[in-house]
Amino acid sequence: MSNFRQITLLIGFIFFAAAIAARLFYWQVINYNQFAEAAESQYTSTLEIGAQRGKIFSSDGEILVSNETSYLVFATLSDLRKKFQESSMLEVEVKKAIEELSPILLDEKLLKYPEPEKISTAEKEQIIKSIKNKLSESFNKTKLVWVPLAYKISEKTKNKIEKLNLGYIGFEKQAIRFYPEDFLAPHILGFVGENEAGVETGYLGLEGYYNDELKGKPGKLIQELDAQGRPILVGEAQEFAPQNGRDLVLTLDRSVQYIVEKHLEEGVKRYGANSGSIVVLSPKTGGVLAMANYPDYKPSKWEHFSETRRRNLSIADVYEPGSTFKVITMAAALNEKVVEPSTICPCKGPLKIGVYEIRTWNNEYHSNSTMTQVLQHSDNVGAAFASQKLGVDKFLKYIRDFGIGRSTDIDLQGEEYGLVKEAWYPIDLATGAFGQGLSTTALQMTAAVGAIANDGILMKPYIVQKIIGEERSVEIQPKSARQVINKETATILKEMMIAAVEGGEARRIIPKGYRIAGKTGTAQIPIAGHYDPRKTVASFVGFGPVEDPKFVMLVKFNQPSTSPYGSETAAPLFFEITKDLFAYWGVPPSK
Amino acid sequence: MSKYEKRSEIDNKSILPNKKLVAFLFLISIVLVLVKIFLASQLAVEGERIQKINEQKEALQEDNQKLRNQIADVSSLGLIEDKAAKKGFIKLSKIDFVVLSRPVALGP
Repeated sequence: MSNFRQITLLIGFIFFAAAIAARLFYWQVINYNQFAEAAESQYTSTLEIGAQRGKIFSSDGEILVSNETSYLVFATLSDLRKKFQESSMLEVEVKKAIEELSPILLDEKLLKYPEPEKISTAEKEQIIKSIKNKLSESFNKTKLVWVPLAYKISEKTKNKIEKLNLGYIGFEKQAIRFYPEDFLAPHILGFVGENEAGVETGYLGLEGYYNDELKGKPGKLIQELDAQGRPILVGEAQEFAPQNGRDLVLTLDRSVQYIVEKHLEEGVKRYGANSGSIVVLSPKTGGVLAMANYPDYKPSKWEHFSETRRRNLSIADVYEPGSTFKVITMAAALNEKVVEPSTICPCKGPLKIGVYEIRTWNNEYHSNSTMTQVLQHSDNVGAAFASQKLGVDKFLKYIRDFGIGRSTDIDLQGEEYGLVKEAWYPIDLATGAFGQGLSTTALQMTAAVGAIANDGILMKPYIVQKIIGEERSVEIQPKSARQVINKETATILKEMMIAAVEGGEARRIIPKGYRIAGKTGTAQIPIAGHYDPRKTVASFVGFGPVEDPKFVMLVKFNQPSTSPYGSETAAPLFFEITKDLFAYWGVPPSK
Repeated sequence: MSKYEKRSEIDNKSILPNKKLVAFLFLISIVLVLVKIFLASQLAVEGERIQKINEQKEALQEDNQKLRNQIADVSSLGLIEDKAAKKGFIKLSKIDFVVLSRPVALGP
């Protein structure tokens, strides 16, 4: 062999070897991850093991939300085709299956409506038609091996389908939320729905706020497969156990919540209000004992209720507090010692500020009123007198310190903050004194008055007192936000608020023998730059018994139609609930 | 016997294994095969048993959950109130408290 031929052959070998090396480098180094994943997917299977969503308990340990098993119904089309190989027979069988399945699935679907008995025959026909169409679409997906026919059906429906003995229908377990109390505390609990990716997620309330705690972490089962895709008995298998979601124990008292919800529904209907909210807190801890809104919704059927009904109005509806805010004004003025309970306000007539005129709610004026009487008569001129003595800066400081227009940081999803503007003019100082020109939420207002009940210390509202995990539990301690007014001021103000209740419009309906502090509020609703006198937010906020406050509660009606006044709507309901709460807690009268 | 024949006999003795040893090794391998078959069958039986126990455990857990939910269902306040009303219970209109600061009974 000539030298030339030898060199050519050698170069050829070198190039060939280099090409192989380059290709191997491409496969094993550059594209390693992609090929490794592809190879792994061929010889391993990964099964997801679902984690159970955490449960929610009331403070007495009773279940408010738990889980129950539901089923996904599917048809194995390959089995169906094997069983009925002739196309005419297959068609007959599919038709028969649709006819047999649709009435069962209709019953299941009707159960998910809030009021199934109110669904008309025409509507039922429409629903059954849509069920049949969906079933037909699913059975016609010839390229698929199996198709889902219905999701989250009950065990009863599953049993009915099983009795049909269709050999190609199967079931797979799916966990769904279970609410034993049905309508109880829906706005606190929130609901579970699917997000855009089809993953179950908590929305609003506790389900939304604590979604990460509640959802847990799904586990995995990785198994080696043989060439036919069957698990190898002695092959490698790795199991990562699922971590179930953590349970929540609330400060919410189930009985208090039940009492409050019942009264609220009756109250909204009795006074012809658009809506109503009640917040009950423990003034010493800030723990939420009850929080109710009406109209409400069923978390298990949330998709059938409007977004407005799902909103927790107690934390998401901002409103002008009106005269209930006079207790905040008075607290600030007393604490700064610019007034005393016996300080006299001339209050002879309307107060003129520039082009504006401040009037009382009934246009009656009580000259030489003491500050206690100002609260008793709910005198706007007297409240403006106190705020003017304070001045803008100090008044604003107290408003903020009481938490008005600020997040309470409550552990519920969907909180709004309200608004307290930065630049105040003399007219704002006067109107702000009786709760106009600033907005708050029912929760902020309840917590603020709770600070007066709690000797001047504002507690941070919270609802979860314990988070229980499989490995560890966390207890959440009450937190004080700040000392807003001193104890002496709080004591004086409590007496003034008792006088306001006992000498005010609501004196005939107070539970006998109890010392209850409170204040009514009737705030006109600002519409298109002016206040509509016919549309009001009527409210009452108070606490009792004053010697050892067990609760602070705010009752609020939006646009009551029987009377626009808080003293004739919210106050009577407040005292009706108070009577029931005292009976429930066994609180004896103190006088 | 010649000198060479003697030599070949010695060589055969050293090359051929001891018959007893062969038999022993054969027996050992038979035993090992049998043990393997026994263990494999045991593994399959045990595996099935473990699977059954796991299934039973899961079913019991589900039953427990169902029972807990049933208890929660029947102890819901709405249901209790309805049942109480049907049995003729009514809401108290007035509660009388006993004042403990005054004697409620005299000593002997």
